Amino acid sequence: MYLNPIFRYDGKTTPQNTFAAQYNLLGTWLMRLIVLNVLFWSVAGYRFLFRKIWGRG
Amino acid sequence: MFKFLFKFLATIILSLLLVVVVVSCFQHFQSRRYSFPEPKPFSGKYLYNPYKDVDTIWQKCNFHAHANAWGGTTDGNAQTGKDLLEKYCSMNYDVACISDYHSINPEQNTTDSTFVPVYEHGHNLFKAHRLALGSTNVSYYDVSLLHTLHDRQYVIQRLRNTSPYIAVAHPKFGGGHTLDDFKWLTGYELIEVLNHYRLSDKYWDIALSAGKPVWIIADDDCHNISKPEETGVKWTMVGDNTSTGKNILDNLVKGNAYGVDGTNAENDNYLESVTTDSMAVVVKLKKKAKEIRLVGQNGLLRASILNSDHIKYIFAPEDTYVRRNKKQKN
Repeated sequence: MYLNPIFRYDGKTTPQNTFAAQYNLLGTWLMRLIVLNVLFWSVAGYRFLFRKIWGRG
Repeated sequence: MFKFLFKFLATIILSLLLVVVVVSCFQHFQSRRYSFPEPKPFSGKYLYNPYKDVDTIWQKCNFHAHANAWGGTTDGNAQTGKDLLEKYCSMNYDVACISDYHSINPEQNTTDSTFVPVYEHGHNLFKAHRLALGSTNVSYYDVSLLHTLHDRQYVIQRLRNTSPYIAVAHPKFGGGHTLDDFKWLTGYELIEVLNHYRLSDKYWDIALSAGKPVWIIADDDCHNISKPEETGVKWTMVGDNTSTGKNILDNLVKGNAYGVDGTNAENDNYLESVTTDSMAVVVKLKKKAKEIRLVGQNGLLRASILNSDHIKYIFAPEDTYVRRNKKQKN
C-alpha cells in the first residue's frame, strides 16, 4: 500500500497545490505569432501543391 | 484513369494534413505561456498529517474505468456501463465510477448517494490524460499535437472551470508527461500513482520534492472486466463516514486516503493509523508486513523495518516529507 506524505509546514495554512503559474503575456503572443506563421505557410503550401497536382499554374 | 486516381488520392491526403494542421493551430492559438514559480521544498517547524482527523470508515473506491462510449469507438467497448458497475459491486466496492473519455456515462445512477461524476480528459498524442472529478460539464479542449509543459498547464487551468478536482492520470504511461513536468505543474490535487498500466511513484516524488502537496489516487483504469490483470488490482481507500459522493471527494483531496494494489479486489494488509507527535511519525498497519519503507525528498529511502506492523520515524532537519512506499508485496 502507498500512503500519503507527512510533510513540513508552517502550522497555520492547510497546504494546497493551488494554481500558481503566472500568465506570460509576451510569451503567449510570441507563440501565437509563430502559430499564425505556421498556419499561413501551411495554407500557402497546400495551395502550391494543389496547383502542382492538378497542373493549374 | 490511373493518373486521375493518383491526383485524387494525393489531394485527399494533402487536405487531411491541412485539416490536422489547421485544427492543431486553432488549439495552440488558444493556449498560453506561463512563468512558473521556483520549486520550494516543504519547510516549517510543524508536520502536516493528512490522517490526523481521518474518518473511521474506509470506503473502497475506483474512480477510473471505461465502458462502451462514443458508439464503441473507444477502448472499453467490451462492456456496458451496467456490466462494469455490476462487476465492481460484486467485488464489494463502495464507489465504482465510469470514467469514459470526454463523457459522463449516462448509465450511472446519478441519484445514488455515492455517485461521483468523473470522466477522462485528453485526446492528444502520448496520452497526457487527466481525471476530471465532480464535473458538471465536459471540457473538450486539448492540445493534441506537440504539447509542451505550458500547454499541459493551460489544459489544467481550463479544466478547473468545469471540474472542482483534477487528477493527473497515469503520468508514466505513454510519455505524455515528463518527470520534470511535476516540478512545475500546479493547480491539480491528485496524481494517479497506481494504475494497472504503470506505477508512477517517481513522478509523485518529483512533485512532493518540489513542495507540491498532491495526494494519491489509485485506480484500475479497467478497459475490460474479463481481464483479471486490470480489474480489482488497484484502488483507493478513502476515510469517510458519510458515504456520500461529495464528501468522499472532499476527503480524497484532503489526503484522507491511501492507495492499494491487490488481486481480485483483495489485499492482505490495510492501514491502521498514521500519527504524529511533534516531529515523530508512527505508521501502523493491521498486520505485520515483510517490509515497511519510508521514502523522503527525491524519493530516497529514509527508514525501513522488516517483519513489523509499525514503524516510527523522527524527522531529521534535512527531511521535508516522508511517505510509505511499497517495495515488496505485503
